[in-house]
Amino acid sequence: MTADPGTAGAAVHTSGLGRTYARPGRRGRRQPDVVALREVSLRVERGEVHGLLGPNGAGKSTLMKLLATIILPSTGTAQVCGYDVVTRTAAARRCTAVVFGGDRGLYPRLSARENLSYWAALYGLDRAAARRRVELLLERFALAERGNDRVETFSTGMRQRLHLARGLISEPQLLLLDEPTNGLDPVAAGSLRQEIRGTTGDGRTVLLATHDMAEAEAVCDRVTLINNGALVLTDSTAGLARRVLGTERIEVDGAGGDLLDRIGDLPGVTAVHRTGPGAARIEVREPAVVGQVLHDLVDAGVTTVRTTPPSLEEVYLHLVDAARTPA
Amino acid sequence: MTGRYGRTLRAGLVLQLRLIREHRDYAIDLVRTPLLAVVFLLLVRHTGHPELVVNAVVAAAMTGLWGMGLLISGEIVDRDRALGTLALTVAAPVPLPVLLLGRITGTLAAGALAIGEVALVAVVGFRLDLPVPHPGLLVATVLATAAAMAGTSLLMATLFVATRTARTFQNSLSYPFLLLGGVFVPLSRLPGWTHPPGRLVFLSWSCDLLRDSLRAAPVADAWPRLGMVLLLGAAGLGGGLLVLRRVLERIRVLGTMELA
Repeated sequence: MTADPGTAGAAVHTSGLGRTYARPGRRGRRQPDVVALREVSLRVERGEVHGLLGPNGAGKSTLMKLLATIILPSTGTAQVCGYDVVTRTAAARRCTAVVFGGDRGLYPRLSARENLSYWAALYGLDRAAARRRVELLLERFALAERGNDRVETFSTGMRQRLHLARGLISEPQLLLLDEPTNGLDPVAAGSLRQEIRGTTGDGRTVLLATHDMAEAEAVCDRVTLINNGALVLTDSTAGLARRVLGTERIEVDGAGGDLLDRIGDLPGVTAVHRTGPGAARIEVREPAVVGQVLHDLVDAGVTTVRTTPPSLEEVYLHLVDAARTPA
Repeated sequence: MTGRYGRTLRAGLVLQLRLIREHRDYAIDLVRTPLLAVVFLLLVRHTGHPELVVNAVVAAAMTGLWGMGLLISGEIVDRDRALGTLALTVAAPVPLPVLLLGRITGTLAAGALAIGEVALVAVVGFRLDLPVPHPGLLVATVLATAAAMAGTSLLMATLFVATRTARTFQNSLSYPFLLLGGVFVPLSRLPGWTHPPGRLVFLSWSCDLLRDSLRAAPVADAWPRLGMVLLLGAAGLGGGLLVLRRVLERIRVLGTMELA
């Protein structure tokens, strides 16, 4: 079975993708449809960890369900691994797995081993291959010792690891993760993020829907911001920050007050925030000015200098605020 | 079982047997059926009509089997919807009708214990002699009934996917079907207007055949009647497959897959 050559190389390709939900009206009165996604055109390359970042209700889960073939698009097209999700549904399903966050998606009264065996069978693994794969994943996700225990006795973190193991049971080319660290404590979330990052070793693509900035920064190669059902922009996490806020950030230690005042007067330097004795964060609008600032700092004998992009959280808040503010 | 369909059928069957093992409420009909058998057999004893023992035994066994089939075919969809596994199953590269049939088969395999329970109550509990003058017909009817019930249960499960009111269906459908199916009283003893709709319920053919197979008299038209059981079961199966296809398409359009 061959994929659409037009999307060769892309794990996910959507064009003008839209989705509306009908709202049942009372007493026969039809309510206006709810627009969950509008004109989304997105390309995710193979082997990439791509973040889908946006606030609650932005349309992330709707896009995930469309790509997983759980719902149908209202407008536009979507392909996963080169297969159209509407016309080549079976092929699209074979190369994709979806993992939802929270408690949903497992049989709580069955053991972890039984759950994984069931999903292995659904993805066409024969008994011997399924057994090997189940044991491998239980071991990898540190669940082997509790493999025969009912899932309902697991902690939230264990369940999330099991969800991820279930998603990987078929070794999918594309793994769709919808808020996988939802409800996890920071330690468990960090550990799961490492596992997510580790799933891409063999060329797998991961599309990760999240509203957690730290998660997107820690895991993703590129991020797409989505808000009110519309795609805002796509870039690398660092590039996104630069594009949106238009600033570079230089953090210094051991700089004198006069030096910082002088740098603050340079054209293109937008702000100098004093963060401690001799320490400051300098924000520069023009990348070309960064060299000038660094030059002046080094000339003055300052050696503790580092450039950092604004955090994704700042970018996110900036964009969401911009979307809320009327033009 | 090999091949895609065989593997899917087996996966559904194994899953269902494991769920029945863990969810004791799934097996409630296996508790209720022997009690029902006791009630029916006590009534027979009290009324002094030993020829009705066969009716009592068939009524109890078929009520148990039907209850199990109908209950769980509804539960499969309802619980999977609530657990979020229905959406994931739909997203898997698996023929959903075959998977559902596997799960229904698992249910009916467990439900078949009801037949043994009823026989045990009659023979051990009531010290009744329960001869089987037509064993071949009995076995064939049980198998045909199980197949027809699987087909009908698929149709039911599909309707539950569509309507999201499995519990209401279960509660309201049981007794009309059992009555029209001649489970408690043979259809021929019910008012004439019940016969046409009753003959469209495979249970009416099954129950008559089961009762006949347990009586010494020769059985007239056994094979055509058995064919009717299979035909009506196949109609249920065909209807189920057709409706399931449309319903899945519809809920993918509406986006109601995960609404419990």
